[in-house]
Amino acid sequence: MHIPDGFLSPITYVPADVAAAALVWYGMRRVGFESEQIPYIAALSALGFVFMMVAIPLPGGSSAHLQGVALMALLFGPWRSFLAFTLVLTVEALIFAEGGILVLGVNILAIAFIGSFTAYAVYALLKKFAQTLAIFVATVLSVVSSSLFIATVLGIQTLLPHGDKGFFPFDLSVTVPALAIPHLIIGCVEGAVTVALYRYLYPRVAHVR
Amino acid sequence: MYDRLKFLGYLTAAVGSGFVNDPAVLLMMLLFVFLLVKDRAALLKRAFLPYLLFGVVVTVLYGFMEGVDAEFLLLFNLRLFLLLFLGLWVASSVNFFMILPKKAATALHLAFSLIREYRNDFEEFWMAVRSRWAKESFFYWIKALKSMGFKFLQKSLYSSEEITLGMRSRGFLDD
Repeated sequence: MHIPDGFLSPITYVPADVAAAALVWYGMRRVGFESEQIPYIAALSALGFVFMMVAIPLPGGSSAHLQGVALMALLFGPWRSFLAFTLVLTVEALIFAEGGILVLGVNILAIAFIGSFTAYAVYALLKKFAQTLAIFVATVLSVVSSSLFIATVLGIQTLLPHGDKGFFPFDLSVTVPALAIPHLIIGCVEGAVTVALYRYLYPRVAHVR
Repeated sequence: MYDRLKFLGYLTAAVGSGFVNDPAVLLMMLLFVFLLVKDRAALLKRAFLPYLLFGVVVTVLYGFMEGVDAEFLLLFNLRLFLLLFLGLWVASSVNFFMILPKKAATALHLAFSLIREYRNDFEEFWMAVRSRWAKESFFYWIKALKSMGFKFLQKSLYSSEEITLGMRSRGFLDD
């Protein structure tokens, strides 16, 4: 779901980079990102990367990759998940050259921030009714909300002032269904996988949360 | 210092290209970057696949849906290729561990080294699991996925403790 460089105008990605940097700074303060926390968050980022590598088999023989953000947010809390996935996205952009460097802030906001906080908020809201359903819905909405953010950012490029030309050419009527519908299907499969993984892993991390 | 200058140059060129709406100027920028970069053949080869994935797909879809607008397509493709090429160049030639603040560089360094290690472990894990399956099934897959999740979770918790101890014993945590 990463956006590459070249699709977005500076008017879009510069404010997003600033917002992402501010959120990272606040998140670091929030989790006490001092020396001893650094290896912990780095190890969580590697764990998040592993979850992102898992290929989910889809009906029809195709596959999609797990996002893993909801699972990490539910296991370790939204701020740690946000920081861990920020590190994953930064390593991917700066070292592996996957995903744009200029649009890193947009990718961080969409995947790490919106993904983590949507999952955590939905789970907190629904867990008193039915925990399994809460995990499932939290994961689906986490995946879909990230994709909706990306779709919105891509779709508004056509609404930019006249002087900004040559960026992503399709408007919201194309980008929203093109991204949200496939991610709804992926989200449902990821939801089922997250329920299974969360139930299995949560008792084993309860002591370190 | 040299890395910082290179990154600054990259940022200026990459952000600046977003404000250029003349294909001729973008083409000149692209040619200038080609001439400036040393390993241009390797970078061109690496930039080609993501360009095919993003640029060609968008161009073809745009052609189908909106008709052919030569100026727009030229501008879009030139800018996309320039930014992909510049991104690959900066990722391969700038040492980011040297230009970031100490905490961020440490976190990035640790995350990078652990991600590389986990990536290899992940591939070996699934090769080992698949070699033991008589047939593929969702039940086996989810069972293996749980084991994989547990293995990497344990590894992460253990690694973070080990790394913290290692860093402390070497005086890194004495701020």
